[in-house]
Amino acid sequence: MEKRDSEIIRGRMTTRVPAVLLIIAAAAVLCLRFLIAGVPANGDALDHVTYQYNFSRQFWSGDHYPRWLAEANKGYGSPIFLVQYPFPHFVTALLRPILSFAPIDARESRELGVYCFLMFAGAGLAAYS
Amino acid sequence: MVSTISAIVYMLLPYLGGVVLYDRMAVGELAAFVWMPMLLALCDRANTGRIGTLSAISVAFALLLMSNILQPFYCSGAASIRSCLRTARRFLGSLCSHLRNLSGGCSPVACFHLSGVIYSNCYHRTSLLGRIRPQFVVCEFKRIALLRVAIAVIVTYCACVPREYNEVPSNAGKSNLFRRHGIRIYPGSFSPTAHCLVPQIDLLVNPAFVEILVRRAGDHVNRSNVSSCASDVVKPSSPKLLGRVGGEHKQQLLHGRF
Repeated sequence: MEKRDSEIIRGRMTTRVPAVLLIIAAAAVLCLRFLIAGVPANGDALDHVTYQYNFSRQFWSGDHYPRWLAEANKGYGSPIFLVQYPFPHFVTALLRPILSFAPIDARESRELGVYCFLMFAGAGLAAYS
Repeated sequence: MVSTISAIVYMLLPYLGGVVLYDRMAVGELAAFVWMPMLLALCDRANTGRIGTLSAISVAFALLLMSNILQPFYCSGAASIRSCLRTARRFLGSLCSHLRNLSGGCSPVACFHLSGVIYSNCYHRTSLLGRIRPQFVVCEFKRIALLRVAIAVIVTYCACVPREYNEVPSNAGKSNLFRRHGIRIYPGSFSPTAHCLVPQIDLLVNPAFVEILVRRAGDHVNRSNVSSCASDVVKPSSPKLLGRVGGEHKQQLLHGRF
């Protein structure tokens, strides 16, 4: 019985692992631009980079759910996270110690680029599962 | 194989890969596209009554709410209809499967397009918020044709035939080329995903989509070209740093006007 179970698990692994790798590779190709140079300046990208800069700074300063962005709008502050969904910014903030990008101007843009890749690959994997 | 291809198609479809990711850079809506197929698939398994499945539905919906504001409304409608008709199938039999597929195909199309139609006719004409224009204008909803909506519904209906009503593969005929080569097609094998694809199917036949992708091949974001965090901006001394910043913004940065 155990032998049969292990065969089933092995069979699933042999079919699923290549499929998962293929989906991740497809996502990496589609998001190559995001992974190399950060998010393109289209749509809401500028806003999200600004939010992310302030969100990450407050998050890693001990404010674990920063609803008020104290330094935004030239220091006047912004209440955006009282209404805005926080999930993307939490994930991107948590990526910072893992990615360890140099603290240059494009850091948040590149972190959001990695986040976009992860979500894009996640969408493919969710559709696969 | 079918699941892998459908997953890659899901990523490649224009609304997710083109409009959300490249054109609008909607990071929240991008995350919602992870939770939507997961939520619909879990709703299909909910009648097993397992605590794990029910908990997973709660977690998936919570993550959907944390990811985007609009998508939970759209997704909960589709999920509710799917679940209700799934429950009612024991009373209605095979009629229920057709109803479920049809409603599953129609309701997201209706939700998605109605928002655009309402916007075009009420919001935009009355200039409710002055110069503020929602991003979905880029999808050219004014050009909605009945034919495109019909194509979207038919394609979804065909893709959403649930597996349990199709024990026999769709190509079971003796003279079928696929059958002869041992390839079986189960149309319902990616039905939860297909429900999330409905708005995107319409964009496949939308000529404005190609225009959007070509037109919006923009620059990459650098924090120094964001005026609202000006207090953190180090004034760039080298023109090289401003190479990717647009003309008007470049002048503002160089002269310190924000």
